[in-house]
Amino acid sequence: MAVQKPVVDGDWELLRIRLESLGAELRTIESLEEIRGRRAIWDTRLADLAIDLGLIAAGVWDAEVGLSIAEFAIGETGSVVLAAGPESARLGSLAPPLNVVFVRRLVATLEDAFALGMPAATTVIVTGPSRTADIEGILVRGVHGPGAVWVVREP
Amino acid sequence: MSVPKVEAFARALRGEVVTSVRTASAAKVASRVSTLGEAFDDIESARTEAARIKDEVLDRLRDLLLEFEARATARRIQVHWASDAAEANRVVLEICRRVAEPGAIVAKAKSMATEEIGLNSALEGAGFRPIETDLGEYVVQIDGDHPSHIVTPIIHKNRVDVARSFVREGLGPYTEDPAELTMQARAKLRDVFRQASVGVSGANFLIAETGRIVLVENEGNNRFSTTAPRVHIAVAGIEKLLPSERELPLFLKLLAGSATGQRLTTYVHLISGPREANDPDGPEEVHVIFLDNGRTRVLEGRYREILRCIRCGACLNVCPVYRQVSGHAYRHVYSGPIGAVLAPALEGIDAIGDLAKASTLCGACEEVCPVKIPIPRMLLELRDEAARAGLGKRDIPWKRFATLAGSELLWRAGLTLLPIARKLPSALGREWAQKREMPMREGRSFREWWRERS
Repeated sequence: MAVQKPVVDGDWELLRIRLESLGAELRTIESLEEIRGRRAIWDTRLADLAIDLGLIAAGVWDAEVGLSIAEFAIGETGSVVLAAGPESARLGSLAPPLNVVFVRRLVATLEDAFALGMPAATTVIVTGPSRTADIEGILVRGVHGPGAVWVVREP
Repeated sequence: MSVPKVEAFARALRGEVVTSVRTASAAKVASRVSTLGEAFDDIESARTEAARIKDEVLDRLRDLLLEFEARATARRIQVHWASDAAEANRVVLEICRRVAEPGAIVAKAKSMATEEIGLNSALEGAGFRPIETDLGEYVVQIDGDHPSHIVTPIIHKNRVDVARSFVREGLGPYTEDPAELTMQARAKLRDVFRQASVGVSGANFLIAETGRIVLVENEGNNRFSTTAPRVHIAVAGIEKLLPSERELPLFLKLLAGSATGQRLTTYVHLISGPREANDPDGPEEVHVIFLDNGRTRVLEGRYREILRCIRCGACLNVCPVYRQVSGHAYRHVYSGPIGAVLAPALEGIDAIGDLAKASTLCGACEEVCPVKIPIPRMLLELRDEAARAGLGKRDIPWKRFATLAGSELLWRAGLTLLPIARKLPSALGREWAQKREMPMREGRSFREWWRERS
């Protein structure tokens, strides 16, 4: 495989289209008013935002919303890349029914993502809401993980 | 060697099962084509490249395994080696006994390797409570059934079957709505994730260069099972290695596209080891158990390329025989075309070598295989091997045919009798003639035509 320089300024419009086809959404920060006052678990780097939104601190299993920070997003696949670390519980992006993911950088393709380098810590590439089609091939979202994923572009 | 067992299964299938399997298979075949077409400029060269990488892995398997062990150990992942199913089960039980109370819940993520070794019955026998957490596998478990497909375990069941099982198990009020049934399972299995002391998974890829475990899934039960319990154990065949993470994009896209027609599965989990000191959660111990169970023998033999398999199930979905008989007819955890080769390759041809005859040799399986495994060629070799070993009876009485064809007189008599042959007791044997229409010629015979011409 030829080594190419990764494309790190992906197309946000493509990301929006991909997220929507997966049943996820590209959201603005303003739209987070919708979760004001909810029980939530957040990445500690988002503490100021949590206070602004009047979120109530909850445990992993009780939270209605999990707020995460992605290392980067991948346009081609509509994915966000989340790394484990001291700031965020791994289950915080998995157990609550809604996962809000903040992201600043966007790479174009999955190949670019790996060329750029995946985080060394335990990492998960999340592509849309949790889903199953085990019963008669019918798509159902939110089987074990979040049924809703909102991606918010950080300025 | 005939296939009465496979045929008997097909005849006994309920009509609804055949419909479920056929509809779901056709849908997956269609979505596979469109997704892979979009994901790759040239799907052919992608498959060739994937096959080449897997062959390289098999050529360098020993070195790559040792490299993985060194890298993973440096990450505090504990690596174990099991030469057979019993040994693998023993390692799992030793870990469970050390870290969990008797009767503790073991959360199981979907894994063909643990099906292969019969881990659930080993755990139950030792007093633990293994609970399958993939929706389909959970249904299979509460029904005392077996998965009938590598990727979609309950392809042979419909919503009514699931609804009845859930009511019986007290999961909630009767409903036939797949979304409501899914939510009932979600609520039940949440408690399993919270209570489990140990989580057991398989592995889709193991990266030699970095020592990481790669798991793919759509539901999230795999992430829960490998994150919430104190201990995570991954059971993996030794062929699951990849040299580095540079190969991952190719394999992740091929696997998702071939298995379920997705660009990428919902979750791709790159596990780097147990939690760090300041991490709020994650397992305290991570184990990898490498399973041989016949694989090194396959590596040395004529079915070596079967070890390229990444368990996508595309060959099942496209197989005309699988679509008629469903996965259970293959009587092994690995069903369909891949199972017809892998099962006898791992367990010996005298055990289930008859599966090689449950094929029309149409070649569709090889055409869709993301790692280009020459399954039809292998099926022929298995048939040849079984015939040489004198296993089973032969359908076609070649000796009688040779006598007929060897004498001009008998042959001419046979040809003259051909128009009325159907009404006579067949010289070629009843069983053979029963299933076949004797072909009728149109017009004159070649001999007649030749005589008139000259």
